[in-house]
Amino acid sequence: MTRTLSIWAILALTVLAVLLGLYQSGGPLEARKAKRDSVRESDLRSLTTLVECQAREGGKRLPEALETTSNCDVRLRLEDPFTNEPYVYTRQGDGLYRLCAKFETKADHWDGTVPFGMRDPETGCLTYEYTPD
Amino acid sequence: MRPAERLTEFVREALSKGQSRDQIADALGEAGWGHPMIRDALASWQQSPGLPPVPRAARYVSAREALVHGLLFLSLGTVICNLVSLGMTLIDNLIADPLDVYGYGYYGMTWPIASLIVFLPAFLFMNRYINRTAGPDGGRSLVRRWFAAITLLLALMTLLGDAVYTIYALLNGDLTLRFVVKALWVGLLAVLVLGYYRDEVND
Repeated sequence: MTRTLSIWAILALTVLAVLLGLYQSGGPLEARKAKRDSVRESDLRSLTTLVECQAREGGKRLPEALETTSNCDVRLRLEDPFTNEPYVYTRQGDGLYRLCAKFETKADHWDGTVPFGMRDPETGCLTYEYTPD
Repeated sequence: MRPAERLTEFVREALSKGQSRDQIADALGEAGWGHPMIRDALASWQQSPGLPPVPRAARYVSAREALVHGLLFLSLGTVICNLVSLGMTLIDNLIADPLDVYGYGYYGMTWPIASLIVFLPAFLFMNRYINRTAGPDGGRSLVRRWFAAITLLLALMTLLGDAVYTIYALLNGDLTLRFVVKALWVGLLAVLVLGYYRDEVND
């Protein structure tokens, strides 16, 4: 009797926990979106090498647009591999620049300012600072 | 002849001479034999009218039993461990803690969910298989009893550890609602494991 009750309780708790876990995590589709977004974030972080290379080439000034040159021929994706939309690069002055993509999931929420190199939940952009040295 | 064999042989002879089980138990008790040994020796023989004492099927050990009960033991262990892990993450997400700035998200959930989806059916299947193949006496496998004893030991140690950690958190000022719910979750699962295997050791 105790054994049967225990089995039913373990079964019920497992089903409940798995369903709740799938609900909270969003399931396989949400996980796939998160995986695509992590590729986009990784691409944007890698693009900082191109920005800094172009900046060194251009007299320690941030470039106007992202492009590969003979000296900055880094093999990086300049566009979203899933939608083929180009990643957006914008200068913001004071050595700051942003790299943006269209993300499918919400970024972690940050209280106050978003740290450098982290995705802004509102804009989907990562902000970096170029310091010539 | 080993002491246990002498005891069993004595019980057989006494039963064949018409002595009652109570008389035999009293005599053995006076001779210094312990209650569990007397009970086991008496349980070794069945009395049937017109027949000498009939030996009951002895507990046995076999490789097949080790495989089957080992699978059941490991399946249950995997289910419980992953339930603990998944429950911890769910509780972290459901009960806010002002000291926890970063949160946990769902990153810790995927492996436990995958494990539970595979191992819960495996556990239920093994449980059903063992129940169907066990004899009318519920199975006299020594392996089964040993796995039950080990599992009960682990469950009891988990319960005791859970209690120690809760008191430690209370004394240390860490006893939050989130912690209490987690401790209850671990305790509940340990109690369920105790309930599952308790009868195995008692029979």
